[in-house]
Order: sequence, then C-alpha cells, then structure tokens
Amino acid sequence: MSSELKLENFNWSNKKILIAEDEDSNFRFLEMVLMRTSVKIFWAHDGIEAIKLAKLHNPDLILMDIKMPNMDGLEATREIKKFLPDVHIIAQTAFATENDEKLSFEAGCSDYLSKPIRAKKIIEVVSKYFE
Amino acid sequence: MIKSIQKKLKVFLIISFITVISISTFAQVSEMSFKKISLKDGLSHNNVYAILQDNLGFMWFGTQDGLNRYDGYKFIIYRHDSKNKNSLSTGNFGKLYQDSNGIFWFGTYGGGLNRYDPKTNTFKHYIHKIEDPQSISSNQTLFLFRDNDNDFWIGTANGGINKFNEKDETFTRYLPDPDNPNSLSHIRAKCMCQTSDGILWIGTEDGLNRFDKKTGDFKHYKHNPQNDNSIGSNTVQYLVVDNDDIIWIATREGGLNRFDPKKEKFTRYLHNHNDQTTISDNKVETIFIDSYNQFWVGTYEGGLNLFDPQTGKFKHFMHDAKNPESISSNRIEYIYEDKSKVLWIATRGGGINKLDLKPAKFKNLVHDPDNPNSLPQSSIMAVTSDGNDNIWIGTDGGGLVKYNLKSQQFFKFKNDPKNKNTITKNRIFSIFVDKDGVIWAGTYGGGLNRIELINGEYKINRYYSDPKIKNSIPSDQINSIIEDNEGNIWLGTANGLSKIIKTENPDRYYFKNYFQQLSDTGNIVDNYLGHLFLDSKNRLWIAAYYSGLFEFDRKNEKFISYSPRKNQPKEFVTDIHALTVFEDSENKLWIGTESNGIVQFNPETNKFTPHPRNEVFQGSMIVGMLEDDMKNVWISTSRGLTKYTIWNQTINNYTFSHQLESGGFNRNSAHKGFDGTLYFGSNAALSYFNPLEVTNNPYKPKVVITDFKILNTSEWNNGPINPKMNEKNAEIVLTHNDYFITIEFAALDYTTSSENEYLYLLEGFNKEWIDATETRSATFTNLDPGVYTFKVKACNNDKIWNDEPTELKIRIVPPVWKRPWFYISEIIIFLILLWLFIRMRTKSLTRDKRILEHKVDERTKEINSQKEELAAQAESLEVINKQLEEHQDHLEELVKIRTADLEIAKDKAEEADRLKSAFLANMSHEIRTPMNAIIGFSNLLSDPEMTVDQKDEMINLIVKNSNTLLTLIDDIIDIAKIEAEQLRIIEKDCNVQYIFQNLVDYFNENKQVHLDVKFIIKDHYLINKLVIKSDPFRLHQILINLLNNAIKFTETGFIEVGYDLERRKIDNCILFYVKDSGIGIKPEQQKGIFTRFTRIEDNRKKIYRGAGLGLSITKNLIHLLGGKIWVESEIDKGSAFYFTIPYKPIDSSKDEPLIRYNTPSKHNWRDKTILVAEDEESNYKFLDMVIKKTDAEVLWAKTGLEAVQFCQQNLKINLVLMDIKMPEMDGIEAIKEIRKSRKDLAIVVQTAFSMPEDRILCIEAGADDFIAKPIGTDKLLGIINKFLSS
Repeated sequence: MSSELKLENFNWSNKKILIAEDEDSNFRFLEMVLMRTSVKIFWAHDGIEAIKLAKLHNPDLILMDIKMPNMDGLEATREIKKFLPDVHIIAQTAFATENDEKLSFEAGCSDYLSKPIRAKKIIEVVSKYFE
Repeated sequence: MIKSIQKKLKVFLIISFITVISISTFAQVSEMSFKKISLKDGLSHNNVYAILQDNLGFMWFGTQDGLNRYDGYKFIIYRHDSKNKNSLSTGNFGKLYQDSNGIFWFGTYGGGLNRYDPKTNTFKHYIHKIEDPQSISSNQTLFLFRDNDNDFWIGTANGGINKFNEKDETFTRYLPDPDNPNSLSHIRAKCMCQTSDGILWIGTEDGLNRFDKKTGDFKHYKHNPQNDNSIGSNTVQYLVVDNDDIIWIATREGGLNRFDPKKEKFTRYLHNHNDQTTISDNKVETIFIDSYNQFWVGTYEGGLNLFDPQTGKFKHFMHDAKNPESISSNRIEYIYEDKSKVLWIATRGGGINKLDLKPAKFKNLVHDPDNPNSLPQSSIMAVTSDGNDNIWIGTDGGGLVKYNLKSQQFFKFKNDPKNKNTITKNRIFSIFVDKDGVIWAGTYGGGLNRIELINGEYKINRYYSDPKIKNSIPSDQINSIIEDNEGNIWLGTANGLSKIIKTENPDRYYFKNYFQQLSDTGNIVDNYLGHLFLDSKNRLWIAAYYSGLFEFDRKNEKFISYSPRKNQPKEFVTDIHALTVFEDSENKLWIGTESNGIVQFNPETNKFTPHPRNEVFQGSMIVGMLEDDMKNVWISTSRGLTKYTIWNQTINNYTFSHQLESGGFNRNSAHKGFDGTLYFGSNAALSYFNPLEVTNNPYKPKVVITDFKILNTSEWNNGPINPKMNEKNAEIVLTHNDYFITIEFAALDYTTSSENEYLYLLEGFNKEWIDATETRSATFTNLDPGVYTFKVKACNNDKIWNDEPTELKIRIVPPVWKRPWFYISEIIIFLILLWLFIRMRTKSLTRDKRILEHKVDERTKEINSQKEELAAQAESLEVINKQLEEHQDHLEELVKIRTADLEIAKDKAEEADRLKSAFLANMSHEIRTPMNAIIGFSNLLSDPEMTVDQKDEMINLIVKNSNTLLTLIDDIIDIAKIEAEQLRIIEKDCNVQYIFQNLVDYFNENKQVHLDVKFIIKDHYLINKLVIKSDPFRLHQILINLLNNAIKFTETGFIEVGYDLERRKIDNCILFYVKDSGIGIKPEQQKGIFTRFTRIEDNRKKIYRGAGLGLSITKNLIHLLGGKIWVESEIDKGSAFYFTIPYKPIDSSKDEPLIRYNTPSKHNWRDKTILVAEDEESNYKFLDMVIKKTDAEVLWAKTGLEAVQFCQQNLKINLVLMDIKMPEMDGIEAIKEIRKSRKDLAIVVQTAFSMPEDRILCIEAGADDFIAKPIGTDKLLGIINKFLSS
C-alpha cells in the first residue's frame, strides 16, 4: 500500500461493494485492499451470481470482471443496469485492448480498470464514486 | 320635372308598407344620378329589351341586334352566325333567363327558343315547325317564365303560351279556342306571373287571364268602361306580384293597375296633367320592385317613375338633354337589379341606365346657376350651425348664406356698398354663433361683422382694422372666431390674437390685442393665427402657420409655445405648419399640418407623437378634423375625406366616387351640427352627411377571368361563356410555343367598376401580389415548363376585398423532345427500324443461302467421292485424338486436386491467422491474471497493517501465481523451440515407475483443493519397475501436461493414469493413458485440440485458464519421441488421452540403482518401527511397500482405537502415520489419546482431508506433520526421515 494513500481516511462502512471475480486470488487481493475501509463486500463468482447479488443487496458499486464463466461481465452489466440504472459498475479485466474498454462502456460501465491493478488505483476509482 | 327634383333637395321618402322605418331611411334616394351605357360604350344596339346577371356575375343585355356580355368594362357581342351552327338562331332578343343548372335560355324575336349550356359551350335551337304540333308554337317569344312547380312557360307574339317539357324537349301549346270560353283570351301573350296559391296570371293583348293548372281553365278579366274597378286597359304589358300577393299590372293606355285577386278588384293609377305626383304616362311598359321594396314603373313615353303604394304618389325621372345625369330615354323597356344592388334600366333608343340603389353616403350643397334657391357660390370657406336648424355658410366671394334644413331655403347676406346694414365683404373666412345667438362673420380683408336678429330683421355691426386706433381689430383678415367659457369672443387674425371687449352698445365694442413676442417662441415671431380652439379644459389653443402649436394663457395674457421644434424629435417635425387643432374624446390634441400629416399632442405630458396612421396623410394638407358619436375622426384634407376609427386604427378614404362633390376641402370649414351631422366645405360644394349612414358596399366582388390570350389572340371568346369560367379547378395546358400569354379579368361589382382594384399572383412565378388595377390583365412571357396557379382578387369601390381569389391552373408542358413519351417512342421507332433491317437482311441471306445450297449440292457429290479416301485417314487420327483426350482428363484431375489442396491451405492459413490473434489476446489475459495477484500482493506485503497470517496467505498466493506464470513461460519457450526445431531429445534410461510416483506428488500439489476428484494410479505402476530407453524429462513433461489437462477439466469423479505393455506385441510400443471423468471434448473438437492455441472455450460453465499450448507441445514431444497421441472422449462423461512411445527395454538388473527412492542407501531405518493407522487396505499396502524398502518395521492399526492401543503397548514405535477418518475412533481423537502417554512420539497425519483447517485441527490435536493423500513416495519418505533422523 503506497504511503500517500491512507486507507484510514476512508470509512465506507455504510457502503456496499459487489465484486464479480472468478479468480480466487484476484478476489482476495481486492478484498484485502477494500476491507480496510470497512466497506461491505459481496463476492460473485460469475455473471449470474453477480445479477443475483446485485438484486439482493443493491450495492453502491460493482467491480466487474469481464471474463467469467456462465455469463460474462458485459452481459451481467447490461442486465444489472436494467434494474439498477444508477449503480456505477467498474470493469476490471485482464483484457487490456481499446476494444475491450469500448465494449465495457457500451455495456454501461462507468469506468475501466485493466489488470494488473494497483491498490492505490482501486481506492482512487472507488472513492471517485463514493465521495 | 328636374326642377321639381331640385326644388326638393331633400329627397322624397318612401315609407314602405312592409319594411320598418329604419330601413326606409336607407331607401332615401338623393339626387338621382343615372350612369349611362350605350352604343358608344360598346353596346351592340341602343334598343335593349332584356337584362340578366348570370351565375358568374356577368351582365347580359339582349338588344334588337345582338346579345351583349358585359363585365363592367368591356362588351362581348354575340349574333347569329350562319357559318356556325353552334351560335344564336338570331341576334334579335326578346328575353333572357338562366336556370338553376346554369343553362341559359334565350327567347329571341324570330328565332324561337335558344338553349345554351355554358359548361359545354353548345347551343340548341327550338324552332317552330308547322308540321310538328309539339314544336314551339311561334318563333317570336315575348316572355320566359318558370313557375313554382318548375314548369317552364314561353309566351309568344302569335302562338299563345307554351309549356316546355324538358324531358322529351316538346312543347305543349295553350292557344285561344273560339269554341272554348275557358281558353286563353288572346294569341299574343306578353307576360306572366304566379300568385302564392299557384295560380298563373297571363297578360295578353286582350285582357288578363287567370290560369288554373289543375283544371286547365283560363278565366278572363277585361276592361269595362262602365266599371272603374275593372282593368284599365285590355293590353297588358307586364305583371308583378308583390309580397302581399297583390298583382301590379302595366297596361297600355290604362296606367298602372293594382289587382287584388281575392277581391278581384282593380285599382287604376292614371296620369293627371295637373298633378305632378301622378304617373307620368298611362302607357306603362314594365314594373320592378327592388330589394328596398321600392316600386319602379317604366313607361312608354314618360320615363321612369318611383311609386309609393302607400301614398299612391309617383316621382318622375325623365330624360333631360341638359342634365347629363338624367335618364337617357323616356321609353323604358325593362328594369333589373343586380346582386350588388345596382338598378339596370333598359330603354329603347337610350341603351342602358344604371342607378346605385345603395344609400348615398354624402349629400352636397352646390351652386346651381339655374336655381336661385341654391348656394350663391360653391367655394366654401366657413361653416357653422345655430340651434334653429340653420346652417351658416361662408363662401369665397358669394357672401354669407343661411340655409334652413327644414325649409331647405337659402338666405343670402351680401355686401352692398350703399347699404351699411350689409356685410363688409363677400369673402367670408370665419363664422361663429355665440351663446346669445349672435352671428360673427370674419372676412378676408373686410374685418369683422356682427349679425343679430332683432325683431325679425338682421342688424349688422361692422368692425374694421385701423392702425391709428389702438383698440381696433389688429387685422382685417379674420381666420378664426371662438367664444371662451367666460363669454369672451376671441379672434385669430392674420396679425395676432384679439379679444372683443363688449360694451353696452355693440357699436362701441372694442378690441384688446395680443401679439407674440420673440421671447414666447424663442425662435420666430408668428402672428399669423390660422385656427383657434378651446379644449375641454377651457385652454385656448392656437394653430400658427409658421411656429406650430401655441397656448394662450388668458390669466397671464401670455403665449406659450409648444412647438415640437423646440423639444421634440426632429424626425417627424422639421417645419411644422399648423393649420388646425382638434381635441378627441380621449383629450388628445391633434394638430393638422400642411405637410407633416397629423401630429398628436398630449397636454398632460407635453409630448408630441405622429399619428399612428400618419403614412395615410403624407402629401395631404390636413384642414379639418371632427369626431363623430361613434368615435370616428373624420379628417378633411386637400385630397378628400378620411375616416379614422380610433379603436382599431382603421382608415377609410372617400373621394368623388362616393358622391363627394369635391375631393379637396378648405381650411376652417369643418363643422359638427347639433344632430351629429358633419359638414365639410370644399371649393365645389358643402358636403354633409350623417356619419351613421356612411356604410361601405358590402358586396365582395367575385373576380372572373374573362379571357385568356395566347400571343394576343383571344382563346376564350369562341362562345358566350368559356367552360373554364365555370370550372372550379380550371386548368389550362400550354406548350412551350405559347410563350406570350395574357389573362384578363374583371370583378363583377358594377357599383363603380372603375373603382374596383385588382391584385394578381402567379404561384410558381411571382412571390408577391401585383397590382393590376389599371390593366385588369396579367401578361407572362417565356414561362418555364411546369405547373403554375394564377390567382386574382379584387375589391369593390369601397375597397372591400374578396379574399377568396379566383384561381386558374396553368400547366406548361415541356417541348416534345423533352417529354418522356418522346424518348420512349424514339426507342420504339429505333427498334422497329432495327427489326426491319434484320428482316431484310435475313431475306436476302435466305436467298443467297438457297443459291449456295444449290452449289453445295453439286460440290457435295464431288466431295463424297473424296470423302471415302479420307475416311481411312480419319481412323488413325481418331486414335491419336483419344490419347490426347485422356491426357487432358488427367491434367484436369490434377488441377482439381491442386485447387482443393490450395483451398485447404488457404483455409488453414486463415484459421491460423485467427488463432494467432486470439492467442495474443488470450496470452495477454493469461499473463495479466497471475501478474495481478503477484503485483497486487507484493505491494500489499509492505503494508505494516497486514497481519502475519495475511502475509503468509499472500506469499502463498504469490508463489502459486508465479508458478502458473512460470509454467506458461516454459510452455511458450517450448513451443518456440519446437517451432525452431531446437528441441532436442536426449534418450537415456527412463524409469517410468519413478515418473508415476512423481505424478502422485504433482497431483497432490496441483489438484483443485475444493473439488472432490479421486486420483487413481494403480499400485503396480508405483511398485513395479519399468525402465525404458527414452527422454525421462520429456516423458514426465508429457504426462504432467496431460494430468494438468485432466485436473483442469475435471470437477468430480476421478483422474486415472496408467500404461499398458500389451501393446508391445503390436507395434513394439508402450501405451500410456490419462483418463478423467471431466467435461469431455466434442467430436468436432477432438481433431483440433492438439493444434496450437486451441482451447476448450465453448463450455460456458467455467472459464479454463491456459494458453492452449500444452496439448500442442505434448503432441510435438510425443512425435519427437517417436510416438503418437490420440484422444477418446465423450461430452460430460470424460476424456481419455492415449499416447505411445517406442518400447526399448533395458536390462532390469542393470537399471536397479536408478530407482533412487528405492535404494536402501538413501534411507536405512533397519531398527525403526512405524505404525500405520489406516482403515483402507490398499492405502496401507502402498505405505507398507514404500516403507518396507527402508527395512523399517511396519505395524498396521485399522482403527483409531487400535492405534492408541498399539502405542500404549509397543514402546518401540518410533513414528505413527495417522489417517483421520477411521472407524471406532478417528485420527484426531486417537492423536489426543496417544499424546496423553507418548508426548515424544512423532505423529504424521496422512489424510484425504486437505483443507487448511484440517491441518490446523491436526496440529492442535498434537500431530507433528501433515501429508495429504494421495501421498507421493518421495515426500512421504522425506517427512518420515525428518523425524527418524532427528
């Protein structure tokens, strides 16, 4: 964790984040970064679960992996936007071409993070939508 | 006659017996002004017998010679044309009639009945035929009459009456029958009418006939000299029924007769020489009741009579050669009223007379040299009225005139130099009647006169200007006189303001004079005071010619200048010459100027503004302004009279055509009478009117397109009516040759046709309406092909516009060579020509062919003989030909095969290209995914907040992801090497047993921990020794790759690895297999899976990581080793990978030392005892086999309880391998129990439970280490050694 970004400054205990990520280690990483802000985290392993959890918990923000089993992140984003049109969805994917970014925005994502992601960047982007 | 009219300028009022009085006031006929239309105007003949206005609005006149169509400007004349069957049968006209279908019926005198249909422009003639009793009875028609039952009757000069049966076009004749007293009374039937009871009345040469259609009986009414109540004469000329069902009868010699059919009583109105109010002539020709219910009676020699049935009095209008406005002839033939309430009077010899029946707007008093009871002079300079119905008129040279409205008598005051009791001068410039009834008359150059009526006589006092006498008037030119609220008389003179100081004796009145000083105006001294005006607040206003508006402050006796020059915007007032001042009902002052129109002044704010409609007054001098009781301000100007309506700012202009005698009015000669009558004096008359009666002509004129000319040639006058005139959406089609077209039109309101105005617009050509008042036509030249709409609209004499324009569509078609059909026909003609040409060629060719055939026949015979010779040669040629054909077939075959090969190659290349792209994207993803964890966690590691446990987890995750990455990189390097053919196979002794044992370790380390997948590797593969000649590193890699693949795609069930030596017998190969119960591979994918970059992607249930290189590398390696690989698979059941490598055995005894973990040199635990707690026998056997090789003693406990007992009883036991899941007592419990007695004993847990929490549970229970099943031998021995050697 870089020194200038003090996680203590963030208290998102009243916020909910849904992380859609099929790769355990990547989820753990996001979780470790975010849990210090006291934010509530929900983990969806694929797109279908992401939709289910979004419906159930009405999260404030969604970190969405694109390449996931059963239903990919783009499709899940489109579905979630139908019933939560105002929720901000941030794509985070190991695909890193311009086209992937474009597809994400077309699907309704508000932002795009390309892996590898640094902790600082996560906080930066998330705080943009929380503050 | 005329004199009598002039005597009574006030007109004779008809009080109609039907309409109410208020309407009768409209019916006032002022001095009748007949407008004449005659031969010299273009009429075909001055003997006119019939008049009709048609549905379009045209006037039709039937004359003795020709039928005339009139549009207010022009006549079009139709006569019989012997060359044209479609024309009138004669030009001599009796009567005209148009029915509701628009059909014209022309009753001619000599040509029978003519029917004319304007829609088709066709005539039909109905002529008397002696042999046909159903033809019309006579060709000389006298009347046409359609009764209420729609029966059409034709009266004739010598054939009685005819009923026309329109269906079969026959006539039913009604003739006098000497044997039938109930037949028509005379053969000459002149007129007809119908009473409301349906009875028809026929006027004949011999009495009146009553005809009942039901009975068919005629009843006769004849003159009886003994009976005054009989008809006045047997010669009946005309019949009219009035609204009360009274029949009015025009008789020859018997005067006008009134006949009441119910009482059967006739009343005669006869001429009396001594009574001017009787009918002018006993020979009555025609009667007409107009829309104001006025009775007009036309006579044979006595002109026109206006008859009042109420009083029985007649008023005469006769021809007067001296009076151009009198009727043109005294012989009246017919009277007719058009839609715009204009009366048309047909005369014999005098053409047509026109009289506007609409109420006159203005009345005029003029000078009539022949009439002493008229104005002495027509130039009016001043006018006012007193309370006694007198109008006081000042003339310019004719003196002062008093005109009594009631008596209509003029009383004249003139200067008589010998008589001092006369006015000082005959040029009267100002008149005022003060509150005592004294008349003050100011003159031009003659000072002031005071006129007072004393004992029935007028006493006149004179006041002159005398520079020597201080208290005399300042000038002999008195422009304006007023009286203020204190009774002071003020004079506006050509040189200053003057107040009359009254004394007891008017002879001694003197004057107090006021003159403007320079200080008053600050600019110019202007004592020429044109007009004085006292406003509603008793402020005295002065219009000064040079310096504009002034107020005279009577208290301080000072002039105050309000000249707009001083304090107002210059744009509308540069040099304001004020002529007159006026205050409207909203207390605004209006200043009439010489050249600035009207300037309005608000005394409250001292602001000047131009009149809101000032543009109307440009170029006019404003000389007088009066407001009527309807809040209209009437403005007299040098050009005419304008009505301005304050509330809506509308303007109406009135000039000569509105019966105003003069267009230009004079200064200070505007006056409003006590009854609201307005008076305006001009140089020609005193005009006066009741503003309420000045109404506009409400008839909106319809515009008719009267002619259409192409190149100045009339196209529309080949018949009385062009059918296009009646068409609603008339269209004219022109060619490009018609480059010069003229459209003529006329508004059919005849009140004053010359005052009608016109605007036209050609849509598609003009953008704005164009004025055509002068020309009444529009000319267009060189219009481009296209569709245009010509629109024209007009207003009547009162400028009431008909906003519904008349339209005519004009279509100009492009020239022939620009039209589509021309192109098409061109092509068709070309095709026909082409066809003809071909046909002709074919014909000639056929001919040629026939000749040739003949020649050929001859030649053939010759050739036949030669042919036989050649036949022999041909056979040998055929053989060669066959060979060639075969060769060709072969070549074709080859090409086909090559093409197919190329296509396959091409497809492959394309597929490869696609795969490469996908590989790049996928590779990026595969690298980034582990990198994400590595980089992310590496950063987090430095975070001091992280706990030790978290850090451990992170390190583990980093290691795991690093390994993934490393594998990937290895794969990439391998594939690169294979590509570069740099991968070398190093063959040496290869111990398969060892490799298999290694697979177990690998599986344990790489299995997906959360899944329940059994790893099956039969014991004998681990136990039996197998050494072959091969590359052990690559074989290991191959198996690991396949195992990895199986691990990746198997979620439940098993993975089995093994080999089969039986295959040696077939091809001297050893067969290896890796089977799983995973997702399987679709048959169509099975071929491709060994290709680079191919990955199982379609299964949506899970994303499988990997670069798609493993199987490709594997296949290549197997090839390098000299073997083959294939797959058998079923979707959702599992896959089995088989591969072979050559079986090159090595002497087993020689191989022994190579089995590293089996050598006693490595571990020698000869005196050690190891207890295996394991309920599964196979598991125990494996452990036993592995451990026994170290010479250690192995004990077997099948349950936890047994294990505890063993430990308690046998103190030699050095180490316990403890299973967790066991009957009786599980491993955890057993460890706890053992630890109670044997704290130092090494206990290693070996279990299939491999979750971290299991490990923790075991360690907490007291275990020293933990090995997860399946257990790799190397690892097992290593761990055991750790405890035994310490």
